[in-house]
Formats: sequence, C-alpha cells, structure tokens
Amino acid sequence: MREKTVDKKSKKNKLFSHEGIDISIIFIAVFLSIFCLVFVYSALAFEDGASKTYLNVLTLKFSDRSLFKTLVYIVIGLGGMLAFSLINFKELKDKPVIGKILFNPIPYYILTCAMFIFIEIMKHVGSDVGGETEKSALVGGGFLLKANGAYRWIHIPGINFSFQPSEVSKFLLIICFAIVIYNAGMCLKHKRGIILYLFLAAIPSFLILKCSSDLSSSLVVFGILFVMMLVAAPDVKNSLTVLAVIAVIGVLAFGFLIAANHGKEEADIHPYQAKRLLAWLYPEDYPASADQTNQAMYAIGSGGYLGEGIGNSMQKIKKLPEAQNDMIFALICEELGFVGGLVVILLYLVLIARMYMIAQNTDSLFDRMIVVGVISHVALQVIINICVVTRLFPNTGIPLPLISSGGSSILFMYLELGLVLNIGKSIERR
Amino acid sequence: MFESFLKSVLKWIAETLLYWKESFLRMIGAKASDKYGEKDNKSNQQVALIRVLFIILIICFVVIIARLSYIVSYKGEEYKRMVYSQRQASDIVIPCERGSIYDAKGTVLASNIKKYIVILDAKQVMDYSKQMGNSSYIEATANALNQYLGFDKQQIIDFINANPKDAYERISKDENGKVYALDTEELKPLMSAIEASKAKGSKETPILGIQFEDSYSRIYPNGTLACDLIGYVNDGDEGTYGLEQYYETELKGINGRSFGYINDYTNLEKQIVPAKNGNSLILNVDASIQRIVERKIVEMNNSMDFEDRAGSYNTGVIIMECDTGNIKAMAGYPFYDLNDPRSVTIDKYYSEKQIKELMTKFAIQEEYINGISSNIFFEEGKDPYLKVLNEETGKDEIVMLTQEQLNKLDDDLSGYVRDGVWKNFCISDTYEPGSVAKTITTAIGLDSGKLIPQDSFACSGVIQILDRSIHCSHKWGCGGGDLRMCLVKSCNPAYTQFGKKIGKETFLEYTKDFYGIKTGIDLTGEVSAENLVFNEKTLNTTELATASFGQGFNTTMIQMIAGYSSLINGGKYYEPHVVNRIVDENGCVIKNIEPKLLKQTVSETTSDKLKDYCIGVVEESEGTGKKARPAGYRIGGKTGTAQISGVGGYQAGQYVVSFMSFAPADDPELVMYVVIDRPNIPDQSAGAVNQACMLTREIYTEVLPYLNIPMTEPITEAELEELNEKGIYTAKYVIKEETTEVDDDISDEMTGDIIEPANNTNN
Repeated sequence: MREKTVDKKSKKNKLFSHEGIDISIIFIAVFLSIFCLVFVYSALAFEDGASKTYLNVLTLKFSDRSLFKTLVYIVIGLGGMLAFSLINFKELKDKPVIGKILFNPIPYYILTCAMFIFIEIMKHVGSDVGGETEKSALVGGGFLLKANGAYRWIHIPGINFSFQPSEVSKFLLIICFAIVIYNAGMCLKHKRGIILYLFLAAIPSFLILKCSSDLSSSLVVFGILFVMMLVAAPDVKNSLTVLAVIAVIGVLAFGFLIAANHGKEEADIHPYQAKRLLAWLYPEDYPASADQTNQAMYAIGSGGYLGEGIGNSMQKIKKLPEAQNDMIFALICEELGFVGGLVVILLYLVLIARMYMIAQNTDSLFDRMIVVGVISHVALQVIINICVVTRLFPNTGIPLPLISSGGSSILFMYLELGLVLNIGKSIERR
Repeated sequence: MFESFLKSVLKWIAETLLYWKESFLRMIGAKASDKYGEKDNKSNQQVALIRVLFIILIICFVVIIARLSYIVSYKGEEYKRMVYSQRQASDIVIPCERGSIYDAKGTVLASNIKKYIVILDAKQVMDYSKQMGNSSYIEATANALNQYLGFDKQQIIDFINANPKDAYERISKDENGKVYALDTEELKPLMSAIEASKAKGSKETPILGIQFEDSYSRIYPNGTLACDLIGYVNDGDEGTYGLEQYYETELKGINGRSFGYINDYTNLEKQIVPAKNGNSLILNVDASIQRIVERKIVEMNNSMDFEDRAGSYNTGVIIMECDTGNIKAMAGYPFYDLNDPRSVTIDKYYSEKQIKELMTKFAIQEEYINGISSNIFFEEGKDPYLKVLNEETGKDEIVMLTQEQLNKLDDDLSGYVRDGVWKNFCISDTYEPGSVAKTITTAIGLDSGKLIPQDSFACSGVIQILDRSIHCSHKWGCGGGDLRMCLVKSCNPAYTQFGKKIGKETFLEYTKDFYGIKTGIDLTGEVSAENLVFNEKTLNTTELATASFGQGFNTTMIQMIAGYSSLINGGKYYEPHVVNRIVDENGCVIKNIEPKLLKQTVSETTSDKLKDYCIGVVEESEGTGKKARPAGYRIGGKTGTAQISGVGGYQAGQYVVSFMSFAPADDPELVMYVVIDRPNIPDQSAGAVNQACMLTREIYTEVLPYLNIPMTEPITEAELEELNEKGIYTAKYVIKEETTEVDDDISDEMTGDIIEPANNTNN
C-alpha cells in the first residue's frame, strides 16, 4: 500500500478514471436516497387535492412536486458525485490557472463569506416582494426566501431556484480548511496557531449565525472544522486544552441562560434557544416549546418494534411539524418501527466506517483532512438529528444527511461523498 | 519591576502577532511550510486520533440505539395512546340545520337563517408577522375587527400576542362568554374589506386570521302566530314547548363532522360526514285560519275591558276537522313573540292590581305573611310592606319586605307568568267544562238506552240533591221539556235527573272514553287530568248529579273537542293531530300521519240525534247558543258556563264560558271549541256565555267562506252589510225578511250560581 503500483502511476495521467471506486459507499448513498424518496413522499402525500395532470409540474399537488424536486436533486447529486469521483484532481493541480484557484483556500473562504454578507445586505436594502407559500415569503428584492423569521435561502429570481448557503458553506469550508491545514503544517503545533485557526473558522460560523440566524448550522460548521483541527494538530495536548476551555465556556453560557430564564413565563423567554434549552430540561413546564419533540417521541413510541407500515403514520398529519425534514427520523420510526430506525443508523455507521477506512489509509494529509471533514459532517448531523428527536439534545433544526428533503443538503452531501470516493480511488484495498 | 513586566507582555504580544502573521501566510499558501504528516506519508498520531473519534462515534450510536429501544419498549403504549387521543380532538363539527315547520298551504311558520360566528386565527397572524418581521399584520387584524365589529383593539392585540399558537378562537362573545352569531348584513363590510386587502396589487396590509364559522339561528317569520302550538327553541338549541319539543328528534338533525384518516393509498382522506339536516314538519294547521282565529281572539279580548286587566285570563280556540282529527287551528291567548320568548314579562300581561294580588299569593306561599296580615300594602312612593299584629300591644306593626324577599317574589312572579304564557292553554290547562258536557251525558243516555228522546222534565228553577241545591239558568225555571229541549235550554236540574237515570255504572263506563285520558295529540304538555276526574269511589249521588251537567270534574279543551267530535261524526273518536306529514330536507315524505281512529264511542243513530239537538241549541228561539250563528250558515253547538273551583269551594262571580260547535250543520266538517276563562265583563254570571258565542260567530263568519263552504241560508240586509264590511263576497244569497228578534236575556244561560249549598237557597 505504501508503494504505488505501476498501473496506478500510468493512469495518473488520465483526467478521468473509475478504477478503485468504493462501490459500497455509492450503494449506501443510493439506499439512503431511496429512504429519502419514500418518506418525503409519505410525509407529504396525505395533503388533500388531486393532481390534475401528470404533464405539467406546476399543477401537481404539493407532495408530488416535492417528490419530483427531491428526485431531481438526487439525480443531479448522483451525477455530481460520480463526476467528482471520476475527475483526477491531481492532474488539475498541475494546470496553471485552475490549479492555482482550486488549491487555494482564499476563493472558497471569500465565496462563503460573500454569500452571507450578500444576505445581510439584501435584508436591509431589498424590498419585500410578497408571500410565496403559506410558510415562506420572498424578500430582499426577490433575492431572499424567508421562512419562520429566518433568512436561510438565497433565491435566484427568474428561474425560481433557491438554495441554502449554509449547506453550500459546509462543502466549501471543508475543502478550504483542508487546504489551510495542509498548508499550515507545523503552525498548528502551538496554542497560538490553534487559536488563529479557530479564529478563521469562527468568522464564517459567526456569519451563518448572524446573517441567517441559524445557530445549529453555525455550530455544525464550527464542529466540523474543529474536529479537522483536532485530528491534524501535531500536539494533542494543546488542542485538548483548547477543547476543554471551549467546553467550559459553553457549559457556563448554557448554565447562565438556564439560570437567567428558568421560572419565567414561556412567552417571555428570549432568545428562543433558551426556551428550547429549558423545554429540553423541563418538558412539562414549557409545553409549547417541548411540543415538537414530544410529538416526535410519540411517533417513535407508537411505531413499536415493527412500525405501522409505510404510509400509515398518524403523527405526520398536522401533528409532527417538518416531518419530511428535521423530523423524518421520527416518521421512519413510526412507519417502520424500531427496526427501521436501526437499519438507518446502521447504514450511516457503515457509510462512516467505509469513509473511516479511506481516512485511515490515504497517503495525503490534504485528502485525509477532507475525508475527516466529511465524516464529521455526516456523523455530527446524524447524531444531533437523532438525539433531538429522542430528546437527548435540546431541539434544534438539523437535517438528516441524504434523507431529509432539503435540496441543497442532499446535493452537497453527494458532492462531498464524491470527493471521498475520489480520494478512495488512490488507496489500495487489501 | 512593572516596566519589565510590561515589556515582557509587549514582547509576548509582538511575538504572537508575528507568529500569527507567519502562520497566516503559510495557511493561505503564500509561504511554504514544513509539512507535517506528509513527511512520513502517514502520521500515526492522526490515524490513532481518527480511530479514537470513530470509537466515540460508535459509542454515540450505541447510546442512541439504547435510547430508541427504551422509548419503544417502555413508552410505546403510553405514546400510542397519546397519538390516538390527539387525533380525536382535531375533528371539526359541521352544524346541521334544524327542520322547518310549514302549514298545510306551505306557509313558513318556523325556519332558520344562516349566521356566522367570528373566529380569530391568532396563529396565522402571528406566523405571518413573525415571518415578515413586523407587527403591522396584528395591527391590521385588530383594526379591522375594531372598525367593523367594534371589538376592543387592544384586547385583540393582547390576545394574539398571548396565544400565538391558537388557530381557533370564537371571539364573538357577549359579556357572559356566550358565543353569539352575526348575520350576513353585519359582516358584509368586514368580508369585503378582507377581500380587498388581500387582492393583488392592494396597497393595504392584508387582514389575516379572521374566519367565519356557519351557524344556524331559528326564526319565526310570523312572530306570535301559533306560538303556543309551535313552541320555541331555547339557547341550547333544544325545542321547548309545542311542536318544537314534541318533534325534537325529527327536527334536530345530526351535526356533521370533518376529520382526516389515512386510506389504503396512504393519503389523508379528508372525510366529511355531512351534516344531516333535520326533517321538516308540514302541519294540518292552516296559517290563514290560525291568523283569523288569533285576530278574533285579540279583538274579543280588547272589547272586554270592564276591569283593569286583560280581556280574559285565557282564551282558547281549537278548530278541528271532524272526520279526521286534524287540527286546523289552535290558539291560546295570551300570545307571545316566538322570536323573543324571554321578553315575556309580568307587566306586559298583568295589570297592576293583578300583580299585587299575585304578590300577596306568593308571599303567602313563601310564608312571608304569617296569617295576621293577609295583604301586602302598596302605597305611592313607598316600598311594599306588611302589617303584622303585635300581640302585646294589640296594634298592627309595619314590617318592610327585605330586598331579598322582594327579589324572590319577583322571581316567582316572572316564573309564573312565563310558565302561564308559554304553555298551551288548549292542552295544558284544566277547568270544569260546564254545560258542554251535557252533550256527552245526553249521548251516553241515548246510546245506552237509559234515556229516550221522549224523556221529559219540568223545570221549576231549582232542585235539591241531598245537601245541594242545583239552579237552572232561568231563575224561575225554564219550564223544561223533552230531552232535546232540556239540552237546548241547558237545564241543569233536568240533567241531575238524567244522570240519575243513566246510573253510576253506565255513566262511568262511557265517560272513561271522554274524561281523564290523554287524547294523544302530538304536542308537548298535554295533561290527562286523571286525578281531577271522578272515579268509582268518588262518584256518589251529588257528584253524579253535578257531573251530568259538567261540574265537579276537570277536563282539558282538547279532551272535550275530541270527544264532542266523535259524537258528531258518527261515534268515531280520532286522535287529534297537528302534523300532517314529515318531510326531509329535499321535500321527500318520510312519514305520512294518517287519521288515527282510536275507538267507537257512540252509535251512529245516537250521533244523528245529538247533531239534531245541537242544531237546536243554535236555531231554537229558546236556544242558549243563538248568538253564535254566522251569517249564511247553519251550525250546531252547545254553550257552557262553569263555575271556577278554588280555595274554599266555587269562586263567586268567576266563570269559564265556552261554546262547542260544528259547521256546517248538515254535513259537519269543522268542530270548533271556544273557551274564555273569566271574561272581563261587568257581570260574568249573566250573559258571559254570549262572549263565547260571539267569538264563535266571528270566527265562522270568516273561516267558512275561506274554506269555500257554500252558504245555504238566507241572509238579512244587516248581515249582508256586515259581510261586505268584512270583505266577504257572496254571489248567491237570498235576502231574508227582516224579523224583529225578541231580545230576551232569559235565553242567556246563567243568572246566578249553579250549585249552592242547600241552606243558602232558602234565603
């Protein structure tokens, strides 16, 4: 494994190659996407109103339209994943202009920050356009989509396409900071270096929090970048010290929030994060805030071991909010039971294990960092998502990778997997 | 010391900044750095760290799986119950419409109008305003509600802020929290304002979260018409009194529901169980006849104004079809407005004097008056007070009634008047029928063979029956005659003897078909008066004698008319019926109510004889019912004047007068019974029965032509003039020679008390 074979070297010159692709990752991803299609449809299909025609997408009912949209994203994502896995990036690195741009962290970083600064500017500059659906509205001169009071989508007028910059930023920042770590080398050995790194990582995280008021995405992004640093830092003691300091600060902040707000009337508590924190600790005292999690638990509990059968969920009807999105795991558990939930968790575990193998065996620091970034992205989201629906964590909106219905989330998760597959090609399996 | 410390700090800062600068340049790739981790191609430390992270991850997954299995194993049942219990609460009720009531010609007597309850969807307003980040939507909703419906603006804003999750709140409530509905007219401006604000290109803030829920509200287009017959619907949407209560199950309907369930194709079916509207009633009653009857009753009562009180305590009129038992009209004066039954107040129906009497009566009942003072004293500018004898001084002391006692008396009074006005006099009140019962006695005698038409009696004005003396209506005796003449003259002493002839057993056997039984009329509140009728033990010589001419026992109007009707139509006793058929909301007949023959009371020959006798009452010059004959028609009938029994025996000078009649005489179609309870005229004992006869005449004069029953009799000039005045056109008539009628008041039935203790008569 340490010495590359002659064959590989000879193929290195080609721009595309499919040799050595880890098929099992593709299979698992497709499995998860099938789960996605089935349960997104199940979550929405109860809405009444029949489709008039199957030819015109705009007249389809909401569930069919969502299914269609998700399917399109999955197909594009699969295509993107295959393309990313086939391209030989090592070849591109040597090209004069493209190589300079692709292997430089600054474009990624600037692109990420620019998206959020754009949101911030349009928030104040653009005029409101009007209601799009029941739950969302077009604002900021038509460039922003606002839902539940947060600006989490950038909308491109004209083609009626919108995407979630926070999902894009995860993808971009993993590449960006993999390059940073690759470049930094021994700089991360000292605490100062680590602090500089974390400072750089904190800026986009802060922008996500500030501009699209999305605390959970912000924490996930910071978490991914932190795990990458943790693995890469030459001196474990230093990085663990920093981790301990951050943990202490975090616990103190939570403690303060709880102490300041506990005992107040539910409606008086601000910010809403404190409400959710308290609802997590004392679900009986804050019924309105705890309701979403309660409904998810009811769904899981009522599913039993084998579930109600696909499509037979009761909770998805008007009770379980975001059943196609953040709460989809509860829906799976209700319809397929404990067994279904276990299968999903095991699929993720196998997916992560495959990527772990690649991370263990890759030669390049840069490659390893990317794989670690993707692993931590998948793992963090899966763990947080499932912990939220089982009330192990306070309620926060994190999609389940590949299964939740968000288009951007699915697409960029596929692209990340494409990168991992690409890296996996270069290692030799036993 | 301090300086060196400062220096070291500055140095450290400078070093850090330099380090940061150098590191930053390396990180962005501007400077080459010594690569860590790639020198040995694979850093063992990194591999180990990744492994540690992977193990931590597996631990996390194990914890999650453990948590899942805990929820499923230990909480599964509980949560499943929660799921189902939540489901049930989300159903929506669709209100059904109560059935209407129509008369025989299709006139609407009771119907519904659609009204709207205003619903505030705070969730929608709150969600939208949160999303758009300003509270102008809340403001707009509150403003609209304030401007168009007069709600308190601040209250609405507070409510929305306090209940951001509440998507369904009925806000049209009065002070007591009772939900009321608004009609379309009131809501129109608000509806159009909402529509305009939501229209495309509107500059105004959209008004969100106001919805309208259907609700039905009962209306009676004719107000007081047939009020006792129909009854009303109370606040709980339940029929009260009359048809509304009797046919509650038919009229009510079943509320619909709307709920979701998951069908086999995994769709949520919005299942709507439609509201089953109530069935409608089509009555035998003809609203036009009913209207004539009620108008005549009111006119008659207005004309009787001797004392400061209403024309009569009660006036009841029933018109029934002789051969079917179908009720054509039924009215019980006093009337009330069905659309506002709560407006029945004591001042409207009773004079001040009566109220004072009633107050005293209730004060005795409530034991505020201890027997010494028998009156409540009312003086100008003073509260009512009592006089109580002080036993020591022997003088009266004035005791004021407390506010509490006054309130109690007020409650009693309003309860009394409401009950009295709301209930149907024709079926719920009992009274002694008086001479009308002579027809039944006669029929019994003839049918059983105990009496024959030739039986005669010579009346000398009074007869002794044990300790009682029974008076004839003619003070010095009517002279009597055969059976027919005794009925025509309504001779009381004669009937004591006829009763005796019939005998107790036969009398009891026959009368159990007439008295003390419910007729089965389809109205709520019919009483049987079972306990107010004689029986084997109580029917002794005196009782038999008085019962023969209709005193000493109680009946209801409907019992009398149903029984009398059978005597006229050949002995067939029909169950009186108000409703003709029940139809569903589309007009399909669900149930036809056919005439129901209950029993044969007397033979046809008896019936024919009785008819003849009754015609005599109106036609004979000595007949008591002469004044009842309408222009152009021949009718038969029987008058009745009865003393009212009360505390301490029969009440002096208080009579119930009545007239039972059928028309036309040759082929009876209608039977009518008119009862006037204590007519407000100077001397009730003399000629009071004429009020009943006149009312009968007035009603027949208009009803018979309305029913297209041809006139058979010649009419006089005066009668023609009268008909023309009333707008009744008759093409075929013969002018009768004007004959001077002997206006003898002797033909009036009563000239004094009928029954007196024997010792009084000698005075």
